[in-house]
Amino acid sequence: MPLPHISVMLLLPFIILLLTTAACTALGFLVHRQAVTWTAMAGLIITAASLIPLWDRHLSSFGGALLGDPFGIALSLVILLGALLALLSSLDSAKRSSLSFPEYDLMLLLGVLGSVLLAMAGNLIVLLIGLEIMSLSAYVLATLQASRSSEEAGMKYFLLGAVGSAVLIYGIALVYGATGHFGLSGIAAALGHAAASNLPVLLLGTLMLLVGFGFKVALVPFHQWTPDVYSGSPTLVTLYMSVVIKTAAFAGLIRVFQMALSGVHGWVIPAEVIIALTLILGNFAALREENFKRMLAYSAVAHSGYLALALVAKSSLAEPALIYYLLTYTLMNAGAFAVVAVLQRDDSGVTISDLRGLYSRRPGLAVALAALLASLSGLPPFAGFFGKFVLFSAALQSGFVGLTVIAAVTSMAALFYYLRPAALMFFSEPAQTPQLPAAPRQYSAVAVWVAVGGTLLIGVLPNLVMQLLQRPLT
Amino acid sequence: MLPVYLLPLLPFLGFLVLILFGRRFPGPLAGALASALVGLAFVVALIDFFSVRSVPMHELLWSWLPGIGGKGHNLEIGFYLDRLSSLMTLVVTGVGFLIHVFSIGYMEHDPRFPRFFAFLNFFVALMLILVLADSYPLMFVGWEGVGVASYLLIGFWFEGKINANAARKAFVMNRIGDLGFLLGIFLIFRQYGTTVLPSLAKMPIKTDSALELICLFLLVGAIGKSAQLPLTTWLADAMAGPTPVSALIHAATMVTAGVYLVARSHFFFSQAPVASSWVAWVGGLTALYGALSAMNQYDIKKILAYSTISQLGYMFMAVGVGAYWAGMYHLVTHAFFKALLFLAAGSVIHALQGEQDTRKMGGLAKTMPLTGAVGLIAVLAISGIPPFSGFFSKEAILGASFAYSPWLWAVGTFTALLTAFYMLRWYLLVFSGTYRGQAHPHESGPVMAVPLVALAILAALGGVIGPQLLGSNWLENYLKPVLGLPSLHNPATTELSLIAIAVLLALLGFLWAYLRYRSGRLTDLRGFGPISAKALYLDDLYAGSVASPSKAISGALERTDRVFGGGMSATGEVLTEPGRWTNLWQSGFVRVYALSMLLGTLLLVLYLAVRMLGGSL
Amino acid sequence: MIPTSDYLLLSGLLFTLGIVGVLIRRTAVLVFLSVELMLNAANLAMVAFARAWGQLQAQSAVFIVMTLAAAEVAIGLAILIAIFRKRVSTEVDPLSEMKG
Repeated sequence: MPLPHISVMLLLPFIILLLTTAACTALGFLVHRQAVTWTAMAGLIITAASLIPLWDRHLSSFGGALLGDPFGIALSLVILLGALLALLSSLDSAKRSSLSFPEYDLMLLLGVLGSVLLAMAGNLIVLLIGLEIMSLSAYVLATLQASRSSEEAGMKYFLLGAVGSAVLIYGIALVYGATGHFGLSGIAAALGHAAASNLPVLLLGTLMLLVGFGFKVALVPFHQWTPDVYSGSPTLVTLYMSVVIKTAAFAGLIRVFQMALSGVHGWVIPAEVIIALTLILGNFAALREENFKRMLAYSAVAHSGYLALALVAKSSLAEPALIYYLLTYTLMNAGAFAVVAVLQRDDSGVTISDLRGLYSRRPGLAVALAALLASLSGLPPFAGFFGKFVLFSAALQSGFVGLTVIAAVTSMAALFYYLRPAALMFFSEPAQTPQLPAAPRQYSAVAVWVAVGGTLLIGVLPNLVMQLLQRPLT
Repeated sequence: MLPVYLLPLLPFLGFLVLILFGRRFPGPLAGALASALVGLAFVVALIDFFSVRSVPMHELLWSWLPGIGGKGHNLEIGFYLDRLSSLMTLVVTGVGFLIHVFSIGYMEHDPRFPRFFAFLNFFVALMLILVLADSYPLMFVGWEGVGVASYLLIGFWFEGKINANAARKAFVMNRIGDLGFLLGIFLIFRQYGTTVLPSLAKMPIKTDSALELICLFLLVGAIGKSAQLPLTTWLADAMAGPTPVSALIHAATMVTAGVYLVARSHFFFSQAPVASSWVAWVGGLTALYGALSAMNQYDIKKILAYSTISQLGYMFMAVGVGAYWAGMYHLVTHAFFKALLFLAAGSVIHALQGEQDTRKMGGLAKTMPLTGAVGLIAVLAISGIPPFSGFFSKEAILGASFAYSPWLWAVGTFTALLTAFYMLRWYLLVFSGTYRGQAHPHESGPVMAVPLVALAILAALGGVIGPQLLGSNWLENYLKPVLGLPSLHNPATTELSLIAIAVLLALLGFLWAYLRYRSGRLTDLRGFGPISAKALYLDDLYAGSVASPSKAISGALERTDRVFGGGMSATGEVLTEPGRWTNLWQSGFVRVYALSMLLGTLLLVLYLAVRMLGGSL
Repeated sequence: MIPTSDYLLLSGLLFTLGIVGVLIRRTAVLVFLSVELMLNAANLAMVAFARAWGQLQAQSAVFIVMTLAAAEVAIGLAILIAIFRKRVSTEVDPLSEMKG
C-alpha cells in the first residue's frame, strides 16, 4: 500500500512548536521564567516565519487531513500574533498575578499548537484533536492562579467545556454516520449523493456541531461561561483566551460549515436565530456592566455575533471579511486586555469608575485605550469600522438583510458602552486617587502600542490586508 | 513646492505630542511648540502659495475604501490646493500662529496649559483638512472635526456648568446644520456620481430643481456652521470659552467655513439662482440682526460675537449675489480685524483679571495705550473707514449687492451705519472716559503685544490686496481662474456714489455714538435697548417654541414607557433594562449554564424534528 | 445482525442519561462522570457507524476519542483536586461567586 503523501513543509510549523515546547520545558528547570518566555516568543516567531513560504502553495498532507491553504495560514498567523502579544504582556504583568512560572508559558504554547492544528485541519478528527488540545490547555490556564475566582472560572470552563466537547463529538459521529467521511472535502462530495434516509442523521449531527462550536465561540445560548470565565481568570489568561481561542474556534467553525456542510440547508435558519440572539444579548448585557473586564467579556460575545455573520454569508465574501475582522479583533482585544493588566490592582480587573480621569494620570495609556475602544465600537478610521463594514456587506450581499440590520442596530447601541469609559477617562476627575501600580511596564506598553498602531494601520490602509485575501482561500 | 499634506500634518503632530506627553513640557514650552508648528505650517503655506499661481495641485494620498463610490470609484483621500484654498490656508495658519503666540501669555496661569494648546493644534489641523479637502466627504470630516475642537475648547473650563451648556448648545445647533450638509452630499452623489471637487467643477451643470435643492442643503450646513439666521444663538454663548478660542474659532476661521463652502461650491451656486438668492438674503438679514443685537450688549465679548454674526452675514451676501471673490476678500480682512478685536478684548480681560462687563471698564486707553490704539484701528477697519482694510472689502460687497438688488444694498448699508455705531460704542465704553472698575489694569506683556501689533498692521494695510478705487483689482484677478467673474458690475459713477454714501453713514454712526457718549447715555439705550440686549429675543423664542415642546413630548414618551423621572438617566434605564435581564440570567451557577446550553440544544433538535414531521426537509 | 438503528437508540439513550446526569448531579466528580457517559455514547455511535459503512477509519477515530477522553479526565481531576483541596465538599453550586 502506498504511503500517504506527507508534506514535510506543512509539518514544519508544528514541529517547530513542539521543539519550542520541549526547549521551554527543559529550560524551565534551569533558568528564570523570563528566559523561558523569550524562548517561547522566539519559537512563535520562527513558526510564523515557517508558515509564510507556504502561502500560495495550497499544500495538503496526510490525504487532506492537514490543509495548508491561505485560509488556514492566515488564521494561524493571526493566532501566533495573538499569542505573541499575550506573552509580551505577561513578561512584566505575570508577576503581579502570581503567574510567573514556566508552566504558564508551556500551557500557552501547547494551546497555540492545538489552535494552529485546528486552523489547518482538513478532517473532523484532526479538528477535534486540535480543539481538545487547545481547550484542555485553556482549562489549565484558567485555573492556574491560586485564587477563588480563578478556581471558579476554571471549574466552570472545564465542566461546561467538557459538555460542549461531548456534544461536538456526538455531532462528528453523526455526520460521519450520514456521509461515511471524516475529511471535510469528502463530506462535501458525499452530500451530493447522500441517501435521503441519512438526512435526518446528518442534520442532527450538523446541529450538534453547531452547538459544540457555538460553545467554544460563545454564541447564545451557549455563551454563559464567557462572562464568568473571562472575568475570573487572570487577566493575562483572558487576553490569550479571547484572541487565540476565538480565532481558532472560528477557523474550525467556518471550515466545517462552509467547506463541508454548505450543501446542507437545514442549519441556516437556526444559525440565523442564534446569531441574532447573540448580537442582541451580547450588546445589551454589556450596557449595564460596571466592571470593565466583565464588560469586555460581554463585548466578546457581541463580537462573536458579528463574526458569526461569516458563517451564513457566501463563502467567497465571508472568508476574507472573517480573516480581516479576526486580525483586527486580535489586535483590539489584546490591546484592551493588556491595558487592563497594567491598570489593575488584582485580577478582578478595573471598574469603569476606576477609569475616571485616567488621562490626567496616565495620558498615553488613556489615549491608547480610547483608540482601542473606538475601534471596538466600529468608528472610522480604526480597523474595527472597516471590519464591520466588510462583514456586514458580505452578509447583506448574501441576502441576509434582517440579520445585517440587527447587527447594525446593536452595533450602534454598543457605541454607548464603548465610548462611555472613553469619555470618562478624559472628561472626569478621579473621585479618589486609586493606587496605580508604580512600576513601569515597558513590555506591556509595547504590546499595547503595537495593538493600537496595528489597528490604525490596517484601518486606514485596509488594502494592505485585503489585497492578500483576494484569492481562492480554501 | 512642498507637499500639501504637510499643512495639516504639522499641527496634528503637535496635537499628538501635547496630548500624550503634555506633562513633560513645563512652563510655556508647550505653547512655544504648538506655535512653532503652526508657524512652520504657515511657512509651508506661503511657499505653496507662490508655487500654485499657475496650476492647482491635486494630491491623492490613498484610497480608503476600494470599490465604494460607485462605478469602480474608490473613496479616496486627497488634498486640493488651488488659489482659493491656498488663500484660506494662509489665513488659517497665519492668524492661527498669531493667536497661538498670544495664548502663551493669556493662558499662562492655567493648570491645563498643554492640553489647551493640544486642542488648538487639533483645531488648526482639522480646519486645514476642511480647507484642503478635494471631496465633500473629506471636507465633512474636517467640518465635524472643527466642531469637535470647538466643543472641547468652549467647554475648556468645564467646572462651570454654564460653560458646559454653552458647548453643548453649540454642538447641537451645528448638528442641525451638519444634517443639511450631509443631505447635500448625498444628493450631489446621486445627481453627479462623484463628490470630488475638481471633477465636479469640470462637469456641465444645468440649472434644475435638483441643483437648487443641493444648494439649499449646502446652505443649511453653512448656516449652522457660520451662525446665520436662524441658527445664530450658539455663537453668543460660545463666548464662554477662553478669549483666544473666540478669536481663532469664532471669528477668524471656523465660522467662516460656511462662506468657504459656498465659495468652493461656486460651480453649483452660480447655476442655482434661487438658492443663491436665499444665500444673499439670509446674509443680509443676518447682518442686520447681528448689528441690532450688538447695539446694547454689555459684555465686551458678546458685542464682538454679534458683530461677527453680522459680518458673516455680509460675506454670505457677497457669495449669494455671485461676487465670490468679494466674500473671500471680506473673509480675509474680517479675520484680521475681528481677531484683533478679540485679542484686544482678551488683553483687557486679562489685565482686569477676568472682568468682562463693559460697564465696569472705561478709561483704559490711559493705562493700556497699545491695546487702546490697536482697538481703535480695528474699530476703524470694521466700520469701513478708508484707507483701512475693512473699507475696501465692504465696498466690494455693497457694490455687488447694489447691482443685484437695491433693497439688499439698503439693508447692507443701514447695517453699516449700525456697525459704526456699536463699534465706536464698544471702543468708548472700554477705553474712553474714566475707569469704573476695581482692578488695577496694566498693559500686556510682549508675548501678547506682538500679535496685537501684527494684526493691527494687517487690519490697517490689508486693503492693498483688494481693489484700488478705480483700475485693476489684484484679488479679483487672482481668484478669477478659480471663481470666475461676477456677472454684475456697476458703472463707475454709481460706484463712487455708493462709496460716498457708505462712508458718510459710517461717520454718521460714529457721530451718533459719540453724541450719546457725551451725554452719558451710551451704556443703556432706552426703548430699543432691552430688545437688543436680548438679541431680539431670538434665543427666548427658541427656548419657548422649540426646546419646551420637545421637552414636553419626550416627557410624555417617557411616561408612556413607564419610567419615572426625567432626563438622560431615565432613558438610559429604559434602554439598558434588557441588559439587566441577562445579568439575572447569569446566576453564577454552573448547572444553570449547562441547562441553558442543553435547552438550546434541545430546541435545535425540536426544530429539526418539526421540520422532519412537516416533511419539508 | 443487529441493525444500526438499535445501536443508535442505545447511544442516544446513554447520551440523554449523561445530559440528565450533568444537570442533576451536584458533586463535581459525578458531573464529570456524566460527561464521560456522553462521550462514550458518542463512541458507541461511531463504532456502530463504522460497522455500517464497513470502514476501519472510524474505529481508529474511536481510539482517538478515547484518548482525548482520558486526557480530559486527567486534566479534569487535576483541576478538581486543585480546587477542592481547600474546600470541604465537592459540590459545584457553591462555586457561584461570579454572577450577573
